[in-house]
Amino acid sequence: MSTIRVVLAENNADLRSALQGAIDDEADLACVASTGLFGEVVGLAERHDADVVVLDLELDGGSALPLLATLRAARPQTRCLIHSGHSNAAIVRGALDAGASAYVIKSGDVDALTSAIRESVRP
Amino acid sequence: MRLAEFIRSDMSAILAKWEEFAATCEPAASSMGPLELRDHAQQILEAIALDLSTPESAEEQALKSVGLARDNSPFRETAAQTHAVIRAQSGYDIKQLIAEYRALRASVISLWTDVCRPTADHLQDVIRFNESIDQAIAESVGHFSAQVDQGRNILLGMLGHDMRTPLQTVRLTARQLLRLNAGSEVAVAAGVLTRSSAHLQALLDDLVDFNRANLGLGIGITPKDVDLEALCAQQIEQLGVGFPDTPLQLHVEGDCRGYWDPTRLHQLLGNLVTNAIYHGAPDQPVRIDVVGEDAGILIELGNSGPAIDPQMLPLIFEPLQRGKSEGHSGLGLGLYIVREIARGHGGSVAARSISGETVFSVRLPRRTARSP
Repeated sequence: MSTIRVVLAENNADLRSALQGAIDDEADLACVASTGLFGEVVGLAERHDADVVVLDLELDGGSALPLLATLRAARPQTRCLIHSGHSNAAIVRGALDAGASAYVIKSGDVDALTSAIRESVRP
Repeated sequence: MRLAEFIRSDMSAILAKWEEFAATCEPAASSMGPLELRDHAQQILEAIALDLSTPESAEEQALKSVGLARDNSPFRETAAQTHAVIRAQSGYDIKQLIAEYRALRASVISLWTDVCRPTADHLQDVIRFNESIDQAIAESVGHFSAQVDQGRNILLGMLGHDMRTPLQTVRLTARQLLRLNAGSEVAVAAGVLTRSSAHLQALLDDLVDFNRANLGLGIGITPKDVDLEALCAQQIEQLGVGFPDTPLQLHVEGDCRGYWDPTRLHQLLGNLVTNAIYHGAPDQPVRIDVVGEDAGILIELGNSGPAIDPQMLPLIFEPLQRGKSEGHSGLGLGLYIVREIARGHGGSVAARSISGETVFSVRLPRRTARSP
């Protein structure tokens, strides 16, 4: 099975670095690029041919929600996951309605995120 | 002069007294001008004067005395209710809110007595005035509490969200440290970080759930097909890493497959096991029996140790009940969350504590994806 190419957009630099390490620890996943900036996400997904984009809801430069539609239009083959500290049902529903493949609430259990990444690209 | 007439004609003097008292309510009053200090006092007094001039039957008087007064306000909120919300937002506490009414009651009666020397014929006015003030206090306190509750719930919600990012960073960094194989000292330190941050995560999850339940949103159950035997084995293994000194003895029998929320059952099991470890006899095993029955699943979790006071048993599932345990402090929400998760699945939880053993029993109906 080929490696799943992940672009990580996380606002917090420390968490971004920790998540990048945790994703790279998985044999079938590779974090090919990461950013905290709203304006860089689509370009990184294009340049690195991302299979999955993991989006923090609040990025430096704006909410990640509009990116879901932009990414879907520009790269329909790329799956987008929201990874957020918000657990409010209305926010979760809003993100899924806007086109997110999954919504993972931030917790210490990184397996929930890596499983969701694998699940999102499963045919 | 009747009291209603006096209130209308001497409004300025009464409001001056109100303002004078409101200005003493520190620290909130220190940054408020005359308009803010008076706030809705005039509207409250006008409502009281209107009430005093409106005939009231004995039945209406009896209803008002138990908080069932008729609503004469043409607005959605009465002046007393709006005043309470504004006072809460301005930083007044509830004692200061009530003290304003106490001062108002005293100043109106004192000013009226000075001006018109009331006679026994005016007794009914005093009684009606006191009822009106009590009604205004009841309206104010209800809205003040609701405003404070709303503020607290928003704060808890924001706290839950804002803590997740740094907490996840700590947990992932501890995990990376363990993987470095950088010697036993680093491994021990990483183990401490892992356990403490997992504890913090559990507290945070409980706090967020408590807040959700408090807002009337329920605990949130997303059922999936679950093999409870595998789920329990995985959770017990994870918990065993955090509590290496306590043997966790899992025994499973029968068909344990069903349609439940796996994340919530992880949380339920985690809360029950950590509760047993914290409150049980040190180093004694914790027994976890999972039995698949025809109608559902029975999870029994037993630990030896001091018995729970029988009078306390019915209360231990209520929120914010903090039991005593050596070296551990919690919010007292763990067992409450267990009960809410069980209820969210249509199940129940019970506890018994006899002969040095405490047992928690969770029953969950067996549901399938096609169940209603």
